[in-house]
Amino acid sequence: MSKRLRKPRGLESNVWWLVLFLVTALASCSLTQAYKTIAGVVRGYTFLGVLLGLLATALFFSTFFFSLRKRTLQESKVFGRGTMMAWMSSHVWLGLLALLVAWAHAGNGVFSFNASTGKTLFGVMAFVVVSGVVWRLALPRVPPQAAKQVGNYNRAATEDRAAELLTEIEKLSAG
Amino acid sequence: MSHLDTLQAEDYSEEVAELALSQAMACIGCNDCMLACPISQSRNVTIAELNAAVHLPTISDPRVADFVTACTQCGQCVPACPADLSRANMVLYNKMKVEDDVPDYDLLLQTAQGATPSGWSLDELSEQLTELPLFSGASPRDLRRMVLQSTLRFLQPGEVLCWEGSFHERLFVVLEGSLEQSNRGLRGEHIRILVLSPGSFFGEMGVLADAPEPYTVHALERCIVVEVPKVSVLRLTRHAPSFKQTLEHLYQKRALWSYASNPGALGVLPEAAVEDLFANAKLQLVAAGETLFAQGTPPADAFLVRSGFLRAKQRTERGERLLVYFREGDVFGLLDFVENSGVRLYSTEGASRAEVIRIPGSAIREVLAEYPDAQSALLRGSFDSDRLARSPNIGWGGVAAHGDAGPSLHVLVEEGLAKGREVLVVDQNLCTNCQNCIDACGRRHGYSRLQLRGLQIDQYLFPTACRHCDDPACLMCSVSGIVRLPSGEIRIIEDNCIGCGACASRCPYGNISMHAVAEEKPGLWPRLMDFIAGGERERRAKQELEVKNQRIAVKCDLCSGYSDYACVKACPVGAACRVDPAVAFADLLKEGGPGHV
Repeated sequence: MSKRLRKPRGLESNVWWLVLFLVTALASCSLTQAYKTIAGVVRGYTFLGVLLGLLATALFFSTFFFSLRKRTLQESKVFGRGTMMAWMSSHVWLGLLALLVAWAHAGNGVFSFNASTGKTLFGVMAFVVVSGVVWRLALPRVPPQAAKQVGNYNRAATEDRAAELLTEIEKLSAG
Repeated sequence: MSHLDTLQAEDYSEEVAELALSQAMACIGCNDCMLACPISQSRNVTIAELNAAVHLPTISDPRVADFVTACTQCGQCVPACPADLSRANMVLYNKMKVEDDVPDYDLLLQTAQGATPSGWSLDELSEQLTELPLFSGASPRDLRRMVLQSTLRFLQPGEVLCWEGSFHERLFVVLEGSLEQSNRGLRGEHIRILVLSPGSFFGEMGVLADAPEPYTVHALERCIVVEVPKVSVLRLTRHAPSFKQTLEHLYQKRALWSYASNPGALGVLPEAAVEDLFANAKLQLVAAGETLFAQGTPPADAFLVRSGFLRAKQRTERGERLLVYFREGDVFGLLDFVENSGVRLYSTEGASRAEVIRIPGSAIREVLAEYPDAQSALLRGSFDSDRLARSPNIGWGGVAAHGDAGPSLHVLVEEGLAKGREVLVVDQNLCTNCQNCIDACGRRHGYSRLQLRGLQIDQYLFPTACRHCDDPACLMCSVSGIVRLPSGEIRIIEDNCIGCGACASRCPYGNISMHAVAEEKPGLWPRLMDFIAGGERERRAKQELEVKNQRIAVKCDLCSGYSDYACVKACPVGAACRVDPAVAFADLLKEGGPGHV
């Protein structure tokens, strides 16, 4: 009897986010390609580049709402909506999207050998996003493995608690 | 002449009075019990004053009256007593005197808008109730005590008093006007069951069996009903046997009637045969562990499970084996008659508190004789559980301990999970132990009501969170500090809770904990002003003088008042969820027993 009791619904499911990701990816690529055809160049300082840069920044910062929603905004009427599963999905997919849009913002400029602040920032951002993706991929795999190894996670905690209670009982009985 | 000598059986229980007196005589007056008492009123009174009150005809000291009124008889004083005394009877005896000393006053009538004078005084209504057949045999004094705890409710025509499926645990007695009991048919059509006129009552299913209301009740005209809380009804049943009999008789009648009209597996029989079977049937309460019938005894009756679980076991040369669990709707013991078994092949005992309808064997034999097709119809009928129990190849391996049994029906029943309605489950294959559920609960409610420890079955952890049981043991609170809402949620009423901890000790699953009441922290500006004005020093000084810290019972109330569950919503990986075991583990429950898992 090993079944998932809570099935992801709505924005908790990765399907909708994957669709959003693919649509945005396609739109960004088409836009940059079209701009390149018209203006001849796609770089961060061009009009489209600045626009995509702003969008990437907004997407990147929007992922921080996950942390805020987790604590400070839990009971907020506006941001407290939705489940943490949905917010977790938004955190992952919007971060990925931010990396993609940032790439589109930099255009071909991101692939060159001369060092620049923009490239460094893109590298750091890529590292953050990729590390997050690696963790997200590890997340569903580690607990079942650990559960097999450790058995009952909470047995040790329960035994500790029982020992504490026993001490309390002995103290009380001793007067 | 002592006041105790003048006692009469109808006034106070002589036994209570005698016990109270003997306890007062044995008390050494050390006052340790009062120091152990968790309620704040205990600071203002000593055990000597309470002992003295036992000998007085009336209690005039307001401090004593306050204390005995607030006491919930939680028993925290018992372990503290060096003379090993329980003062429950002393408190009960004094409590009854305080109640009887309440002067007559005009009762208020609760309406949808507020409260208005009812036109009845306490004594007038108590006298009027003695004329009702329901209360015949109850003394006016007992009824007066009951009315003191009751509410008079006024209903406009069409106003709904209770909905089908909601929990009330109150007895409703109609004083004026008429109400209609109804329910919805399979196609949602309105079905009138009964019109309740003055003197009628309902709600006995909730009071006697913790069951939800079977019908919707609404006013047909302007009417007035008395709403009596469960505690008062149960108290009256102890004092007035005729009242108890009337209630139980009607309860049985209604339970049997509802089954006779919807007999489940017995529906294969002709309607007249079903009526014959139920005509002599009786409702029987089976306690957990109580044997209903033993293996090897001749079959006397057949049974239909109304609520709860029963286990069928068989003793063989290879040891004892658990055959099957009988649950709501199952019929068992009937095949013994159909197949003419000489003896019972298995024994049956209550796995939890259960209610069964006992159909006498004589009635079954008569039906089998009278209706020639009945035998073949019953053999074709779906008595799966009974058949399973009689199967020779089920349940080998003995009655396994829950640790080894895996996520079986056996574990769900024996650990009380099957009785839950909204059980919190954490899937350990998904849980990353981030504790977000605990933090979220703490942020919403002030202190976390959840601990990630408890029973674990396979990968499913059932943490120590309230299961909102069908038959909650925690609800016997005399100050209504813990109640069941009509929706079925068990909730602690913080304003009523006196922090005695009785509910926490009654909960069989340890899901209620006691917390010190946290004072609400004022903002920075008020704190600054308070500091300048010296209020902070005054508050600290008062805190030092405070002998006892006020405590409060804390438990999961399914985030009552919110549209979601904080713990479930806060889980980022979907490991935490609330399930009804009957639905989530339906495959197990349908399979029937350990032999099939």
